[in-house]
Amino acid sequence: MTDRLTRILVVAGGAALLVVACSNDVELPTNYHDGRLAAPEQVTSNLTDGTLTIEWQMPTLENVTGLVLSFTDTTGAETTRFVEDETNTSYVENTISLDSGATWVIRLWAVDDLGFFGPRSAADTLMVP
Amino acid sequence: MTSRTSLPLTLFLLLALGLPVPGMSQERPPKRFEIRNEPVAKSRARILSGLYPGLGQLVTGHRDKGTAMVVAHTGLLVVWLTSHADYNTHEEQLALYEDRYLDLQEGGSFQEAEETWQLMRERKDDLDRSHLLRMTFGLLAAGLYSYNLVDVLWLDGVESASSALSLEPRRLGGGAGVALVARFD
Repeated sequence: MTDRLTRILVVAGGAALLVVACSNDVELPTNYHDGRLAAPEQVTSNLTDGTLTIEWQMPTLENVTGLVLSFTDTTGAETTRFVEDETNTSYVENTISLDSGATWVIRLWAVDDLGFFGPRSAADTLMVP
Repeated sequence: MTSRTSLPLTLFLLLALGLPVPGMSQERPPKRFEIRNEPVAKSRARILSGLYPGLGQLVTGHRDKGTAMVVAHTGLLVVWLTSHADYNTHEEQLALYEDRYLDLQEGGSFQEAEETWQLMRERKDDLDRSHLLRMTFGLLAAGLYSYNLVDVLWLDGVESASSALSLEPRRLGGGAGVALVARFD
């Protein structure tokens, strides 16, 4: 009887060993990027008397420590500006070229204290008349 | 052909055919023609089955069962080991993506993090599939091995089997040969 029990235990032990040896304990890391920073909304640009004003709205300022403004011309060249005060909802730009016929694609995104860039806003296109 | 080369050739042919060679004793044939027809001990058959499923059954005459076990276990082992290697590869790739994802936390962007996250999810799905495959085939291999042990330890897996029709080595005259043996029990 003891011999029989030993044999059963050996067989069961082998199967248990296999299950433990082949465990799948790999998990994905914690998702930190979803919902960490909100994307700016309602981005608009107005060109009045040679002065370009960009306005936007932030759904929430949670984790936001600043904003990046991006101006991309038709060649793909990108110029960025940093808005240090995250509570601002507008920015006046007067250094980029606003020659007649120029086209700029304007985007905006939030930045946190680790330098992580949040999701980009929808693009607003400015065509200089 | 000269007589110098034809003599060894003649001897070789006579030996191969099992015919008596002139000048050699007919009382004791060469050892290489001796045929062992002793039944294999149960303990030895059990050890063989412990080493590889089906071997013990094969040596005791359970040819169909033994062959099926050897083939099935080999197939299960191949799939199991392949999926295990796949699992390890996916695990390494996932670890690389995970390092990249965590690095992006400082100075990275949402777009890069999202792309890396999607890649990680794909790898995790691959990993889970490989795991399921290796677990399934690993358990099947373990189950077959266990059945093999049960068969040789408690069932009649190592009882000498006599097949109705078989090819058996036999001593024929002074030499070796193969005989077709039919049993009518």
